[in-house]
Amino acid sequence: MQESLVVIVRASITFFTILLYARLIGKQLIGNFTMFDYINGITIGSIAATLATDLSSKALVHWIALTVFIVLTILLQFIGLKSRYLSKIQDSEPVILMQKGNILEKNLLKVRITKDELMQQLRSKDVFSPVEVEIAILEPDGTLSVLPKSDYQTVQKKDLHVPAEPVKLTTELIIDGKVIPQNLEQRQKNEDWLMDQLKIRGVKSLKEVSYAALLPNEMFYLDKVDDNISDDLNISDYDGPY
Amino acid sequence: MKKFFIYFVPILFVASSFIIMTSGSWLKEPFRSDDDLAAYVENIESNVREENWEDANKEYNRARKAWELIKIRIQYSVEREDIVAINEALFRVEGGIEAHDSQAILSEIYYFYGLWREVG
Repeated sequence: MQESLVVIVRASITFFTILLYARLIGKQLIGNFTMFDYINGITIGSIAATLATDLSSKALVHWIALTVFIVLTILLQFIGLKSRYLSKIQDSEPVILMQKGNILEKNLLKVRITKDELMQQLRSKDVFSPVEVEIAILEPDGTLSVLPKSDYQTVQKKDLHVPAEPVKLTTELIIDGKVIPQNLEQRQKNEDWLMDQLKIRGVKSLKEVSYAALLPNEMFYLDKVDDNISDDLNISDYDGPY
Repeated sequence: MKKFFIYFVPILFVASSFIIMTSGSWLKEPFRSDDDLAAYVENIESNVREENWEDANKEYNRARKAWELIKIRIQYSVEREDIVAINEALFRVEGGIEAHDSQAILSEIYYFYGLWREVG
């Protein structure tokens, strides 16, 4: 038996199967990583590893197990979409851990989180005093959402009556010397305008451009391949290479 | 065209993976004139029953060559233990022919028949 060859074939099947199944599951798995999602992900990974390397059993058996896990995961996603009640049964409900600066011990006990862990989660949300908290909620994915008391909320532009400007995204126009016509069109610009902008900045050829974009404030951003950076800010202690 | 490609390639991949993983049952069947392992082993059985040791040895050599070909074809879809077991059974048959021990050979041959039915 050519074991290396068999492993290459099985590993290739596993690799592309995982890629395909990950696309089928969608982005939800990464966004809302509940305990179940976490364990499910590990189990799927473990089955995939066995599919690739365990030659003592048929590849098909593990492939079927992998497929069943993915089908059930997708099925649960759909059930969650169709029924809010069943979705809550799957993922549990958010739990209030703090209200008006008070720690709710009963709820902490219910979700088995210590006060130290609660404080750590608050600090990671830039809340360094429990007094600042109006309400703190433990989400089903294990993250803490904190609503600060009104006194501790950051000032918004509208509070100061500063006129609002429309928000936009940075639009990439050139990446690695290649123009992206769709993005140019999106910001109502054309290639002539782009070439003019490059000429103004002393760029003779598109090959010189590493990255160019139109910023939200309509400013043109350019990064050339040649960075012309001096050695002043070199943080390395030795010549290298390492 | 792009949409067709996006659906066609994954479907083709899943289908070909499935075929590779289930191919053992039909890839063990003969494809050429010299790879009918089951027939060669049956010939060994009849030669051994008639105590025709020279012909049994010839059939064994054919069976061994056929098995080397089949093994490569089915290795992607069958369990390693099954391949090892068939290998061992054939080696024991070879030993039995050398020793002219028909009882030992017949028990190994029937073990082989069982394995052969299940493999794939």
